[in-house]
Amino acid sequence: MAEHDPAQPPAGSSADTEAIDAAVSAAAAAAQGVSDEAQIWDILFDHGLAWVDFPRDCGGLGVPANLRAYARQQISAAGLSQPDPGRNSIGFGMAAPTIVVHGTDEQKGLLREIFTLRRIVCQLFSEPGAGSDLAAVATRAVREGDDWRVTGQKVWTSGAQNADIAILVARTDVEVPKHKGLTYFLIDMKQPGIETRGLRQITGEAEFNEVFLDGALVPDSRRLGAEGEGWRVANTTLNSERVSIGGGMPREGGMIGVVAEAWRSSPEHRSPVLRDELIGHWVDAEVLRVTGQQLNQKLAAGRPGPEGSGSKVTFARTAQALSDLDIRMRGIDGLRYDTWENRRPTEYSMTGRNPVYRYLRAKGNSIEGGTTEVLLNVIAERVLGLPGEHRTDKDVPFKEMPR
Amino acid sequence: MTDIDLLPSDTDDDLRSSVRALLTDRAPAQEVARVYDELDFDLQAVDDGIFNELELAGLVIPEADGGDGAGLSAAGTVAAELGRGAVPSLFLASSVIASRVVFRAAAAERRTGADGPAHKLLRRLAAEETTAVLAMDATASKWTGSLHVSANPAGPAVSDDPLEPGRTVELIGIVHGVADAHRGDLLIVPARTVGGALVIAVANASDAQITPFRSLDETRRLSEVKLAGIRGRVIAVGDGAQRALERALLDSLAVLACEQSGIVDSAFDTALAYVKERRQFGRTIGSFQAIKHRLAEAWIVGNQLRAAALSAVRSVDAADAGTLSRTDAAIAVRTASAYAKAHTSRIVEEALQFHGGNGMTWEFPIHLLLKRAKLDEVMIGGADAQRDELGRLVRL
Repeated sequence: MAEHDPAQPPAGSSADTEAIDAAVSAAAAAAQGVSDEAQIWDILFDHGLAWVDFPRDCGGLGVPANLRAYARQQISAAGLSQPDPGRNSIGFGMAAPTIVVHGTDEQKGLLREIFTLRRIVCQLFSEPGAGSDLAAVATRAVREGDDWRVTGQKVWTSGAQNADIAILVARTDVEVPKHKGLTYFLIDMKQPGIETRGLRQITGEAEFNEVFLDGALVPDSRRLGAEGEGWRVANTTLNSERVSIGGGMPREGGMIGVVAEAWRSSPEHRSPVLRDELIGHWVDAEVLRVTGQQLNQKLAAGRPGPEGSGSKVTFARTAQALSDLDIRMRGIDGLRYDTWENRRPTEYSMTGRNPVYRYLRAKGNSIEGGTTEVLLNVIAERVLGLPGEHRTDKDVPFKEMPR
Repeated sequence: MTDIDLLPSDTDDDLRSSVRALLTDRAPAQEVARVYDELDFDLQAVDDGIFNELELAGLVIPEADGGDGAGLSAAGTVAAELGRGAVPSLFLASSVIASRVVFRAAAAERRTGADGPAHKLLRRLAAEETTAVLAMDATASKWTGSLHVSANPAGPAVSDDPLEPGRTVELIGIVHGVADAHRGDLLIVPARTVGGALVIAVANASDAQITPFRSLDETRRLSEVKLAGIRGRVIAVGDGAQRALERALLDSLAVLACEQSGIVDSAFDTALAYVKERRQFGRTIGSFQAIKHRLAEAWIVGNQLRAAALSAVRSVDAADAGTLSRTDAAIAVRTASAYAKAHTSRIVEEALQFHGGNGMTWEFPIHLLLKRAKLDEVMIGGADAQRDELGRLVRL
């Protein structure tokens, strides 16, 4: 979708694209003479151009989600500055879609803060003992008047050191089975009860953090959804994380583009066998892209399919296979690395740096955002209707569960 | 690069239901399996329905030439349904492969302003009564055959070049494995002149010696085709013939990918139903994670192949309509074909494995799909040939 010619909006209702065009014109008029970026972003939010698929009072226009790219393009074409979603990716990709669905009016006020980058968001979900089994979180939130006190340890939190608030899942009731005792909060990160430490990973750097909460405070007004509804609310977040991978990419976007370009520019290491392997991966990447494109079109036409969950599995596999080939096809240069220094990257890209980094970082692709194994279970059980796994933890109160 | 519309159209849905209804009625698995025991049995009732009742012979032929002008995407829909049951039919050989060769040859004629022999032949093919088969090795990705053509009944001579469309010529040579040749009325014959130029000629199949031989997939029989100096009429020559053949084979690969997609969907559906029913160790075998994960993987492949195959046929139609470049269309076709050829047999083999011992029996229909899947994998070139061509297209 990113490649659409602005003159040719994607298939869909023309009323929707007209609504976007009108909002862009109005925003452009309101932004006349305004030079401050943050102020322009406020104007965009006011005109429903933050996330165009959100409702009108939440920075949107209520149009289909696949028109986001079109809107971004029209906004750029009108010469208006837009915030980079990469600078608040948890806020844009996870917190905002969850707040829209489950938030109170007061909490929806955070949408503007998130969009305008005034509040950077991080995620406090996973724990050392709760990875794929997210419902096993042990971090406790205990009621204290109008507040809650949170104690526990979270892990795999990117950007925690810079975040203003976090989306948090904590256990508020240990007397009920594990899925039922969770509650979802929006907690302030800048407070004495929260300590953040970098978590060094196999690339040498610390892209993620461990976060230690020791009596950290969150007011009840920052509870998202009802007490005990945390699992359901968290699923809204996780589903937003997995939508339509590969759907908006141009051909040779992502890892395949990096490796294909390297192949073209370094003829000295070519061999017919490696070429056949590379083109095989090119095929997989292109088929993934076309499938994502079809899924986007189905979403726009109101016929969503469950294919998205399969795309994540293929995405991870293709990225891993390509980054592996990237190491093997360059001779000694495939082995060079820039630094093993334990540093905190301010920005990162899975297709950045060098082959060694990409190879190592891609190992996470089949783990983060749902392991391949869990996703295959999800497809088998929820899409294909095959029986669930035998479980011993579903009806037992959390405190009696063997852990 | 314009995005191709990848949503199923109402026309496609209607076509799919009418073909599926016909095949449910006339091509149940036990009827299809008869082609292995009765060597002169071709389940003709299917093609009576496809050609005479549903009148699908002219799907890929333009309306101006008496066809439906429905394009390759409609042919892909029909092919997917035929693939689901590994149904014997002349549809792919005649209404897709041969018709596309003649269609591409006619396009070369139109450019020179002539309403020549290719157009006339196209109208005959659209009119349902006449079928044709391309006299080419079924596994060849490009023409490298040994058929020769001569304008001189006394024998080939260098002075035969150049040949003109419409001329009567003599055809001589052998092709060792032509799919469905025993059923066609006409042979579309690519042949070389002594001077080396490619010529496409049309001949009566009844003039040739066509000998079916036993092969892996009897639902699409292979024959040795011997042309002992039979008469043919030239429909294309030289570069025009070369381009017509190349494009037609690319078109055919796109439709073949749709057939392969139908095979995968059918094998998957059969396997899913089976593992939900079959019980061992006191539970349905579909409750074992070793099986669930593999079915989930097969489901992913099925979705992706369906999208890629649809993208392939629609891209060719878009290129013919002038809204997509020929290169982009070729990339879409080679991508879908390489993917289909890498995965179709594999998924059917998985489905067979899920059936345990039953998968090895004649009674369970999986073997029909397996045989067709393996044939399709090597038809018009294997996955390696598709990847090689694709590499050239995308500069790898």
